[in-house]
Amino acid sequence: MEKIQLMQKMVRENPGNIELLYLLGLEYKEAGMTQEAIATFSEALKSAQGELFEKIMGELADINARKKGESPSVGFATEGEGPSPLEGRSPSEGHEPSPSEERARSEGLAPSEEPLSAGPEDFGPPAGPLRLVKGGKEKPKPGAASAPKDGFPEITFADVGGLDDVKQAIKMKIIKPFLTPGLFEKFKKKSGGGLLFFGPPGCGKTFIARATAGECKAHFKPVRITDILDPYFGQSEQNISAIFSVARAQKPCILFFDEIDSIGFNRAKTSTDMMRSVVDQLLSEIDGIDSNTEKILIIGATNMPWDVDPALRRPGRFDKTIFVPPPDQNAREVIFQLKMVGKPCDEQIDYTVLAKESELFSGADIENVIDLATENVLEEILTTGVERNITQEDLLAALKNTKPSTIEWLRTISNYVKYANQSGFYDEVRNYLTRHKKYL
Amino acid sequence: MNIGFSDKKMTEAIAYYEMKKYQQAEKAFQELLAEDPQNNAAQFFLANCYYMLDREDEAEKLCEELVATELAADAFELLGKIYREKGYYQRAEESFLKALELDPQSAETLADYAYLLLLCGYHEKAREVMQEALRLEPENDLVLHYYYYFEHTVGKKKQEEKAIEEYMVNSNDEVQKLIKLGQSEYKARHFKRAEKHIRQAYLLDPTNPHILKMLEELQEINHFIFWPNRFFSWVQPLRFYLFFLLSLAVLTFLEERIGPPVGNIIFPVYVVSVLVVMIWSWVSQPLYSLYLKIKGMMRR
Repeated sequence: MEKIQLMQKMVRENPGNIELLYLLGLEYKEAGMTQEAIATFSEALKSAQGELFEKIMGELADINARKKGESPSVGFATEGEGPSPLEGRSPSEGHEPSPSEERARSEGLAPSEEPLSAGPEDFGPPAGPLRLVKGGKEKPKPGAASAPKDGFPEITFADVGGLDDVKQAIKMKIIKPFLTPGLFEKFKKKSGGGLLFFGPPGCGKTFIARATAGECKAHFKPVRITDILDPYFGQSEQNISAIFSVARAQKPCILFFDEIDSIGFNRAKTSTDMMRSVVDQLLSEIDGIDSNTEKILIIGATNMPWDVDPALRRPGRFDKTIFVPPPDQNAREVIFQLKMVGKPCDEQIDYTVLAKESELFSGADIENVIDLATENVLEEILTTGVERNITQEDLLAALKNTKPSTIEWLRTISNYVKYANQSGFYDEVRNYLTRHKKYL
Repeated sequence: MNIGFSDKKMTEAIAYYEMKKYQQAEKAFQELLAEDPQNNAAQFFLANCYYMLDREDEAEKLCEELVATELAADAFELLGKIYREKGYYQRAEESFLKALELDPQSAETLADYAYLLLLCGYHEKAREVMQEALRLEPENDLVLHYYYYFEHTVGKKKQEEKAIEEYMVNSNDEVQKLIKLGQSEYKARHFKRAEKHIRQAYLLDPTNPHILKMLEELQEINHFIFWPNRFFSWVQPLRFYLFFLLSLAVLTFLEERIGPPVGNIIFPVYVVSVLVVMIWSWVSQPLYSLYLKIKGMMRR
């Protein structure tokens, strides 16, 4: 209750702040104050845009689904896809007196005299049925991830080309324990916990994390440093708590911490207290998860595993680590094919050859190669006036002129493995580097 | 007050800066400046990012714009560091003095200036300025950082130890602490201990090329092939030659007294051993290069 009062005070002081309204709505929802939550979310919706708009709509759908006794919804229907869960109810239906109204009545107060002045009455009449307004969202483009950013991913391992070793490791360490906890309990093997992906940038760590969530049939909640840091004292820590609260409300859920090396920065290296308290709070929240009952997994991704606070790698936290190397030949072949979709190209392009010639290239590098080849072809067309398709030679020429961006990371890690692998943490990396030493 | 984009973005950018993730900080500050080009604080932080990323020209350009703003003192101080880094000591001094004119109580600027004077060889003046910086802010870790380097360069062992102790107590930067410990051990010719500290520093910051270079040098020095060099470094050449001459004199005296065992066995063995060690110390570097080549070939 204190937290709600504090948040109400903050909303009164910052009336235009949509994020605060959203967080207040979450607090109401957790406290079971459904009407207040709906009213607060409705107020926030008036000005919310983009990701925040979708989050608020998700929360409203969730509240409504709970009222109907359904399991939490994974998204919300748009027009043309069937009836919205929130449509078709009259204003009087389902309007239960809120706990605040009941309290006001019992204390002999009229609703307007209720001590909490930032209550539902401040935001207009009680919210009735909400109609979802058409428009705003475009149809997803072909080839793009069709899952909403924050919701139930439709990507699974079938969509991840190559990287069979990585997929197998994830299945054994995370997916199977998550889906069949009983079996693992029988053998007294603890399931759940966290998983840390590390590897060079642009090699699909986020994509694999989404696919893992898809395999686990869990909600996928990405968390970035921008979602946590706040200029107000103590607010960053509260943001972390709110994130975990939302995850608990949407279980089964996978919390994905991108750039965990920033969010969970090594406290021994920070010269100020700002990030220290954030890391402390994160550790505390992670320790508070009981994965067997709460069905929450945490996945972290980083390009700089040496910057992650060692306390985050202890048992029960991000204790399982997986090295995500640059895509292997199979994966590169698939990436080339996917990225060439929709472009005018020769049918004779041999993607196997391209994949062979692009050792150590990340997905982003392959995209660059294709962009470069496309630019060259366009330049030629504009110069000569003769239109033609992209050929294998164009792609091979672009490959010759592009260096993989992963080389610098691999060189840094090779020195690290040489001097700092006494614990064996980087054995996987060492084996990978041994197999690819001629390219470095 | 509205928590707008710039407040949150500024918090994020400063967080990256304090984590020494200068590339991410640079991106965040540039986004801030795209929204608000008059944000002098963001511009100053961006200049610092460029400086830390060894892009001194870009940092210099930004500082020259900032000298006409309320951040003039900080801008002049950073300019002084940039010029010092580039080797333009006269310009560096002018900038530091301008910064001190605007903010005479800035202990950090005084410490920077003291370091410049040290580099130029004005040890006494450097000591005076450093003492003033320490008087103003005895627990400031930047001041203590320069204080350590001052004592490391010109001070005696006890003073250097005191400087390290002060730094250890007052700073939160583990990497810098380990580097200083490593450098002190290196100066005292405890190469194995130095390697241990520098390796720990490298574990914490493997992207720092200077730490990697120090570690590679120490690994080389601590290799078996260089043991004569370590020995001579510890004993010091002059002392060794004096000892050698003295021992020759003693052996000659003993040969006269004792006779053949000394003359036929001990004396030649002793002289040959010393010569081998001396020649080994001269050829240790090419030997090490050969060793690395063979090691590389065997790996392939």
